[in-house]
Amino acid sequence: MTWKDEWRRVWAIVWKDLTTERRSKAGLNAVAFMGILVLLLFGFALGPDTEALRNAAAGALWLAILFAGVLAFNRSYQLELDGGALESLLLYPGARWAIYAGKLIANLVFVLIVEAVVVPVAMVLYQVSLPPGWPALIGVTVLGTIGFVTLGTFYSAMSSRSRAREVLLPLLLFPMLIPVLLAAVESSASLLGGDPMSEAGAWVRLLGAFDIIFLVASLLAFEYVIEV
Amino acid sequence: MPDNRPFIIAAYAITWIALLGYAVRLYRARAEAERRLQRATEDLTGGPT
Amino acid sequence: MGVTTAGMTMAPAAKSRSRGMLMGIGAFVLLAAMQAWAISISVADRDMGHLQKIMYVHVPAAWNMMIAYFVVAIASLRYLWKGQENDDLLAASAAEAGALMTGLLLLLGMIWAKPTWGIWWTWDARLTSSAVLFFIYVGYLILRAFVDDPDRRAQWSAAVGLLGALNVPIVYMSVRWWRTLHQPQSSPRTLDPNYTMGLRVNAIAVMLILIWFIKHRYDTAKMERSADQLHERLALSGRGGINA
Repeated sequence: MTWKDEWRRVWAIVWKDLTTERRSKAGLNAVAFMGILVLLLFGFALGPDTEALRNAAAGALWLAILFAGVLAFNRSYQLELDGGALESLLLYPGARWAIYAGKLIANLVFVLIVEAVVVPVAMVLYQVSLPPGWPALIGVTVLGTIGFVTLGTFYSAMSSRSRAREVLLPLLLFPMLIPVLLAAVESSASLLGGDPMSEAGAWVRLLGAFDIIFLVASLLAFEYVIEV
Repeated sequence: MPDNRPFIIAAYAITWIALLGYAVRLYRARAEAERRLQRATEDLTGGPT
Repeated sequence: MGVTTAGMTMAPAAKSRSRGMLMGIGAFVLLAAMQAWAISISVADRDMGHLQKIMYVHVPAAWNMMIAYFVVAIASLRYLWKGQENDDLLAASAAEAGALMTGLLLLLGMIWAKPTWGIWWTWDARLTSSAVLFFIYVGYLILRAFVDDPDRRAQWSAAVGLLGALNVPIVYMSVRWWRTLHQPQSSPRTLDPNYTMGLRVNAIAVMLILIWFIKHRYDTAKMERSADQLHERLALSGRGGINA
């Protein structure tokens, strides 16, 4: 097995998952609506004060992404388990990390599409205007999403195959994600406030370090998680 | 100098309740495990008789 | 023949149990003595009164929490490396004791914060990251409770334990950047030597209790596992009906 073969396996899994999602669409719609619903609930909880809403926008948006995204991860494995497809997937020769990488990329695309819907809605609802440094904001969003999806894909490989999976995944995942949440919220808030990269820079580096550390750790540990 | 005695007493009381409470729980769990192990051994070897 | 096998299994267990009890009682008596000593030598602070006496229970809880989680990380790593069930049971035992220490630490921190800062909770680096740590390891224990197959439970919780340990410095750093209004680290150097000594001896007494907790929990877990294995053998040999 060469690297090229492994990558073909990765892309095959990505393609299969995304095709399944595209055909049904119900999953994507449900998750995106969940995100918007959370944004709406935060708006009601915080009250109609424009200034307060604008200050809370970054935090509310990230929590909406977290609450919506966590619904997507269990689904990703649940579809495999329902058809008994995971066993056959494991029977194929090749490295286990390829399964993780494929699921990771498919989940990443899925959550990024959800964000493409939820972020504009958040900007309208919380009356935030696009800051001049918006490309940096997209970079922060992608980095935060990578960290979120890396751990989400890893932990849902366990939670989806245990009892009480709906409760277990957020219980395991959310405490681990607190550095991502802090870094993503702080850096997007400072970028939204028109802050030059000076304050956001440290947070972006933390996000990058988090992504790399947990990407490597998950790739190494996935083999132990999926085999049993 | 403020009187902080209630806070100090509460701190020490909570420490002892937590540590002793866990010790008692462990002791009970161990006694239960010993009983289970003994019963399993007896079942396998045909009882103590 | 049956009698001898049973007798041989039980005699060492009973012996080690009475020895274990002795060690546990000794550790608790030592802690009581050390607390009494530390309280008697500590002098009242001009600003905070006798409040620093809480440190004799708070700081040992913090240090021992770190020890317990260090054991979890090492045992998890060793389990993934060697695949021996004992390492998994050790990690689980240490995680339980560590979660207890963290819960205690949080409560004591709140009791200290109220008279000092006038608030029960503050979002400072060490307090908040201890709370995050508590949730990470409670999640670890809940995962263990929800998975029945021993191999699966061991592999999964080793992975979760390791990733959790990996996250500890990141959580701490991120929360510290986020907000800092805690007093500087209570490092023993800047303080009265008697106070330092009081902290250290109390930490050692709590550490003995921690070791006893972990060992006791570990022995119990091993006994539970061998009882399970005996039941499996019984079911396989088809002699389950003997005592029924």
